[in-house]
Amino acid sequence: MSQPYIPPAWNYNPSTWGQRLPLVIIALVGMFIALYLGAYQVRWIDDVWEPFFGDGSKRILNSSISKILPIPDAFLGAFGYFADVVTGVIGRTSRWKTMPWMVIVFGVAVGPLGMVSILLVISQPVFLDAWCSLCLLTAIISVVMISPAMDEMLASLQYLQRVKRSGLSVWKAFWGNKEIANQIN
Amino acid sequence: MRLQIVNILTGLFIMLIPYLWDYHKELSVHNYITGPLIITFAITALWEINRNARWLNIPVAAWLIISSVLFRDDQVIYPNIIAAIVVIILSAIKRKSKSIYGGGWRSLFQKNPPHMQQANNKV
Repeated sequence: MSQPYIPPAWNYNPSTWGQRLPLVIIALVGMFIALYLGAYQVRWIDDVWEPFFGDGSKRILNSSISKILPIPDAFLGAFGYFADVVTGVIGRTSRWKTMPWMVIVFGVAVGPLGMVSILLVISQPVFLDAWCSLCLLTAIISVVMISPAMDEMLASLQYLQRVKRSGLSVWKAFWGNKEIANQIN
Repeated sequence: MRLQIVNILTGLFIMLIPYLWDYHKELSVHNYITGPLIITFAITALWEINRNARWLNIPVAAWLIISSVLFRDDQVIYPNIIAAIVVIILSAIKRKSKSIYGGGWRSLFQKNPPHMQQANNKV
């Protein structure tokens, strides 16, 4: 069965639920792990689960790096995952064309989160001489999300490119103008 | 995909090398930086649409070789060198793509990319 809303010169629709739902699910997993780590940082819970690295998680979660910002960094991560979930869920299977702004916000939410996660992974052994299993897991989740989110973003950017070359308003198309979406493939 | 999986495992191995060969801090820092980066770029390159992310692992692995030579002191650096060479070789191998993704990321900078050609044909 052929899928509707397949972008030109593509062989699948990157906005189908089959493409988006796995990302939303792993973002939810990341969010709950980050909330758990944040709960330890503000001492809503007294202990944090660490199967491999002894007191590594505690050292990292109590480190000065984790307290640079006014709120615990794990809660910021949880907010990032929440943004991924929300922007991943909103919109129909034609959203690469009908809601390019949402797709691009989704891509922007996923990309930097992955980069920040990697910086935090690097900082663990370099500055603190410690590792944190759950922090590593959330970093892997962030990185795994990057590429699957980028295909939808590319489809939207290509659509905006076609709008621009047609001489129509990219600004209006970006915000999902229906007339333009009907006019441009 | 298999090549990138081997690169992910090699990146993991690079992170473990300082523990296995008891590296001093100045040398091990480079493993802790390059290992996660190699894993990140290899995971990103697992998906066909970002297959070119594999190229980013070449300078990262090259830096591992250079830093190993610069900060070696009396340490055994052949594990780093071998791991970096594996990453460089596997990152340089080009695989044929099954899909063209409307011309991919480079289409955004082309005059008449495939997605535009097909869209024009449909009209």
